[in-house]
Amino acid sequence: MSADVELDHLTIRFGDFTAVRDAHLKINGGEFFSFLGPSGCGKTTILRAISGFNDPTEGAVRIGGRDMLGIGPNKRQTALIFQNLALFPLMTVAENIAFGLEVRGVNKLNRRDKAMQLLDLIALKGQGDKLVSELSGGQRQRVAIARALAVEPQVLLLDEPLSALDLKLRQHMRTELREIQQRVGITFIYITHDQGEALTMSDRIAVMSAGRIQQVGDGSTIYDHPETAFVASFVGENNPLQGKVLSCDQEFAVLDCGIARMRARNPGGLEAGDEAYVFIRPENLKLSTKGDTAASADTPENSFTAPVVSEAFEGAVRLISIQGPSRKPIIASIPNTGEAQPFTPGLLLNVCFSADQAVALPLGDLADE
Amino acid sequence: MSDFLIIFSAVLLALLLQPLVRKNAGNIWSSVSAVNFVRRNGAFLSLYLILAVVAWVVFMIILPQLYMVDFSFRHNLPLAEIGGPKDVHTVKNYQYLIFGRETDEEFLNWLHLTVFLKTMLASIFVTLLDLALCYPIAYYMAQVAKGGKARLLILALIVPFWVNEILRAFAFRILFGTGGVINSFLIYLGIWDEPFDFLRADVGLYAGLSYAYILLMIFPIFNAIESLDHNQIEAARDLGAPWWRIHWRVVIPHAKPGIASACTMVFMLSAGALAAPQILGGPSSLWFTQVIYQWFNTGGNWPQGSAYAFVLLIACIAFVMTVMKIFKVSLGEITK
Repeated sequence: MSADVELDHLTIRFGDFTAVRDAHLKINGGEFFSFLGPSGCGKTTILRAISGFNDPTEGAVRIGGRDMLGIGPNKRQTALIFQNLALFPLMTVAENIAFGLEVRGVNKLNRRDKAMQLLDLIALKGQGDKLVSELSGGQRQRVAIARALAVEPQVLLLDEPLSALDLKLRQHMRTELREIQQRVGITFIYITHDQGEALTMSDRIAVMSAGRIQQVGDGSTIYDHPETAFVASFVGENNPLQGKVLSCDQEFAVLDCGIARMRARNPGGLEAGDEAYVFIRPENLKLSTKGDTAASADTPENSFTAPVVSEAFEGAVRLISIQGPSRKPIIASIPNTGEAQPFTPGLLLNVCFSADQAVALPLGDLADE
Repeated sequence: MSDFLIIFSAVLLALLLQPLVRKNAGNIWSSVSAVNFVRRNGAFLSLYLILAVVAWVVFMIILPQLYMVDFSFRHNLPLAEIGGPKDVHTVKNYQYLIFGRETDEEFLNWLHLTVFLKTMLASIFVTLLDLALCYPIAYYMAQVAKGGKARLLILALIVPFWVNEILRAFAFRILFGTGGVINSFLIYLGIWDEPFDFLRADVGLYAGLSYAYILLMIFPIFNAIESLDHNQIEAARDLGAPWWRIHWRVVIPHAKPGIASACTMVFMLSAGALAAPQILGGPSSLWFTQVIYQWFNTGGNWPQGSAYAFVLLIACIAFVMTVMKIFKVSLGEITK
């Protein structure tokens, strides 16, 4: 059984501080939904409001169509997995898993059965009598999931549960979590500041900043069609170039960005005279040395010449910093083909890009580096 | 010095030193740490620290207590006969507590045994009452109250204890006396017409004792609960636990060592209290410490007094150890 979760113009304030502003969205039953944002953006507050630890200041939280106001965390059909897992250190693994059942008055024998069953599911068969402290990080992670699943919740809430694990294990747990979600078929609401986690696991993602939901959509929409400057700069790498809109036609806008005129998609309806950002992803920049005519832009606007500042080697890609109009360099990434052709600082490059791969968006907060 | 005393003190010393000796045998680490201790503090400071601690423990604690133990096994002799032929060891002081004088009609010394048992039971009662009062306060301070509020509460708990014990005890007399504040107020409200003698009913005594040790109960429990990750409480709640089960399964097991050390202290101190029972006890109530005090003071019988005092001490230790065993708390845990 899964339930949908609806945030109806949810606002949460702590004293003068507004943690969540007017969040309004619906999470469908059985969906893997992520809230993605930097720390302090209000995503944990939303999660705690759904689980019942925070009350809405305005608006409402509805689970399965029912307003949750006045219903405590212990009475909701949700289970929360804490960032630090919060397993009970004085209980055995099996007791941890069966705690929710113990609370519900299930007798000892049935509790034991259910715990065994779940231990099987998380591949910890026969380890029920161990203490939590005897398990490894990944095993504890799975115990926390089993403990939450034991109460058969309609919605599982996960508060950055992978952040304490090392990289390899984290990547492994991503697929495992996704598999578990598909097997049990309940709604998963996942909180993370790690866009890799959000993009790989989620059906849909809500990107948050400063208490506001910036954009809701599936991974490729968020990545390819950002709607705000924050989303464009937070999800993936992006080069923001500030400029003034000179003219627009149906789909595109042309901006004067100082170093060049730039033509970019205009989804936000910018008009001539507006100040705006043009975002170009590093992988969409084409570089060529002066005199080399191999690369050229599809429009005369999206091309400029600038010197190399530095180069960084990242294994699969090489990141080249190019002098931009502001103090911050423009970053271009090119695949590492093994044929080393060094970009020495000072080397003049022709830089160009396709107007389809650039997007012009109204000014707004950018994600901090 | 008689043979008995030599054997007795040798056995006692052996018992005291036995764990130390056992620990050191084959335990190279401790000797290394001893060297480290010297290296870290320098020869002079190390020597001073060792001598100071040894002198403190031996001269201020062990020797006087041993002297009292020896005393409790002697006759109460006039000064002239001390060291004389009559000055031999005896168990009659301990015998007296249990059987009384041989000329008594009763087989057992019911008068003193009753006082002894009553003291133990009353101390248990005071301890449990304190625990019931202080656990919620400690929990509130440790997990619920935020920063400033918790500090204010701690201050409000500590400042009243600047008032000294005697003054506080007499203030409780004024509070609970027949013409006291509580009676006057209740009569004014019309709850009853005749003043109720709280002091005769020992209400004043229990209230006074409970209040006297409230800090010793709160702070160890507060420390223990404060170290509990708040997420654990929320996790239990999220899994559907009502408040009482959260305490029963999560908070209390975590705070058990703190609760044990607090209860131990409060129990020991209330069993050994003198001023509060003296001032607040009703006419019928006699605390065992008062009996001891009488032997030393008015009775002038120090051997008898020290025998009684040691019975109280050993009974208290035995009781505490038993309770700790039942609740599976080790002595090492409560020092944490």
